[in-house]
Amino acid sequence: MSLQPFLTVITRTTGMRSTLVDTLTSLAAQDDDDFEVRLVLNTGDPEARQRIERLLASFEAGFTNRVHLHVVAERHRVRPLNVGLDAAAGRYVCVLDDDDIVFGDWVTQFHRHADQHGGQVIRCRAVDQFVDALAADDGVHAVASSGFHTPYKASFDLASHLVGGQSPQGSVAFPVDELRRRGLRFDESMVVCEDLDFLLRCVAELGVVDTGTFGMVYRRWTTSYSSMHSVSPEVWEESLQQIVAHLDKGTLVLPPGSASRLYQAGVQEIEVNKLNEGERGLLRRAESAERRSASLAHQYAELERRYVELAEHVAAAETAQPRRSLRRRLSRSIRR
Amino acid sequence: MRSPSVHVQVVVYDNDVAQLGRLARGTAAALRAAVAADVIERVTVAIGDCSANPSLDAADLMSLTDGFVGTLHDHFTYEHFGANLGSGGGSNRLSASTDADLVWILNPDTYPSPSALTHLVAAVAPDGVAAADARQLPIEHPKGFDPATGEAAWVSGACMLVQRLAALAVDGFDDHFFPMYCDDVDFSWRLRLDGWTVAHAPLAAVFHDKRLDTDGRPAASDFEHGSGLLSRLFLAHRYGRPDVVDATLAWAVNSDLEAHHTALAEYRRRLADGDVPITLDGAERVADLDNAYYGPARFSY
Repeated sequence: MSLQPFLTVITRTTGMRSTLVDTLTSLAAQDDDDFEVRLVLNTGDPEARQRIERLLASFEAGFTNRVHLHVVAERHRVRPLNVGLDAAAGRYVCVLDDDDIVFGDWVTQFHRHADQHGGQVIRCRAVDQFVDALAADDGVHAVASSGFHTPYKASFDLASHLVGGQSPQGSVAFPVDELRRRGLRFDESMVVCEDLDFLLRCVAELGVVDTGTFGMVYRRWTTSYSSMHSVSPEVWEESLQQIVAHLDKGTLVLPPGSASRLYQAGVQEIEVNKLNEGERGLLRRAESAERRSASLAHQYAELERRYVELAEHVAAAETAQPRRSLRRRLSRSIRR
Repeated sequence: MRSPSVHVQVVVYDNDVAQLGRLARGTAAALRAAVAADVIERVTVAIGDCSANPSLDAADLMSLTDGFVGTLHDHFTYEHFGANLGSGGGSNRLSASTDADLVWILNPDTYPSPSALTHLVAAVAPDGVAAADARQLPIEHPKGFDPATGEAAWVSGACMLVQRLAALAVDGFDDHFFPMYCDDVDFSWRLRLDGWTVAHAPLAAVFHDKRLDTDGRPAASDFEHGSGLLSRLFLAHRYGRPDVVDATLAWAVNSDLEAHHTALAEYRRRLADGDVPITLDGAERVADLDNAYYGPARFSY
């Protein structure tokens, strides 16, 4: 292992979620240990700091020695990321939330592709999983309440990213030297979507390579433990407009296949221009409804799946006794 | 009252030494945390090797000893079995040589969180609880459990803490019918038939190095597919479900997987030889063969 680690993992935490144990355990278990962790505690609470220090000390020394604790006392969603970015000693950098978990070859895959495509953004695939909160003495833990979903495109697609996140932040790694040379940092004025904004600005300048393999589990809380639950739709929309404005300032490097998508978009624009104002208003509403419909369809599919599971359990419980009686009779008759 | 003693045991088969080193260091951290919390005392560690040739040399053993035992200065043994006993058979062999109160069974591809053992010890502390398993990362097992007591239909052998005397009372794992897969399901059900309960400890996290296939589903090897099928048929025999035997056979004959047909051929040969489990009395009280997860499931993959 060289003196400079391959990867810096930035993890911000307020110290409230005990899911950090899962995140750190999945990091400590990596095949490739050529990485450091910049753990940024975003609170001035001394008790939270002591809790985190105790947690870090409980891991094996070989791992703990690679975890560096930073404290940003003032509550700020984005600043901790830039603190981690400034401190990063790795060749590449990636952000993991304190409830994300990664597969055993997560670092390996980034490493392998970075060696082949140095200087570009590296993207792995991610699965979604719904989790329920489990309160305990040491904070909030997560237990899975669904299987894995694969809502994200297998390959990076700029157009899809512009209308909604397609890459959880733990699924992308960035070349540190290039970020510093070009002054690419997280935008601290953003309330949400700072990761998407950062990703798209980096991809626009550096290009992106897909590993094609699943590297991480992005956990979605069924209760209110994520920013998704605490920010209004208007704020999300405003943040997305900020991202588009950022991209409009520069030149975009687009991945293969983009010409066809731009052509389709251009044709649609010509058709839209033929419409009168009333028709355009209807179209905008239809597009907005379509986006909401897609989101609702995703939620509906999850609810439907859970309903089917519950219905199966109820049915199994209701019929178990008669079936068992029948089985016993069958079993006895066979033995005779 | 004194804290329980713990015997840690890992059965390996041609495993990567680096992987075992990680396991050793993670396990040592969990042991240290449990000792510091006064929930355990006296620790012994045993590795059993099912590989054809010893997969660990003296230098490997030295580093693993340091990793596993660390500052605890307790007893470490390594045994090359000279035969592939399977995970269940290997576990039985290793636990035969200990008098510890608790046996902590770990797969070689696991890495326990520092607090895992402390939570597992708490989970087996109530009267009547024979064994507990940990919550697996990154692919959490879907099996259901009682949120208040942790009680579950069965516990996974990937990271299981078991009362040694309870295991002894049911003759441990059945390595004849379940050498690799479902040995933990069968073991749990026999414990429950014997009057014990088994529990899931969701606060005890363990990394179990499983990956996803290209569709985002948990990947399974041909060996797992074949062994899984054979194990399901043997469970159905032992737990009095001829209907499940029939349904499983009907499903498997139409399978596209060669591994399933190989397993079917082995099943038919053993059935003809009378080498299938006999049905246990009272089996219906503990067995649940109505779904793929051998018990109520919270979700599915």
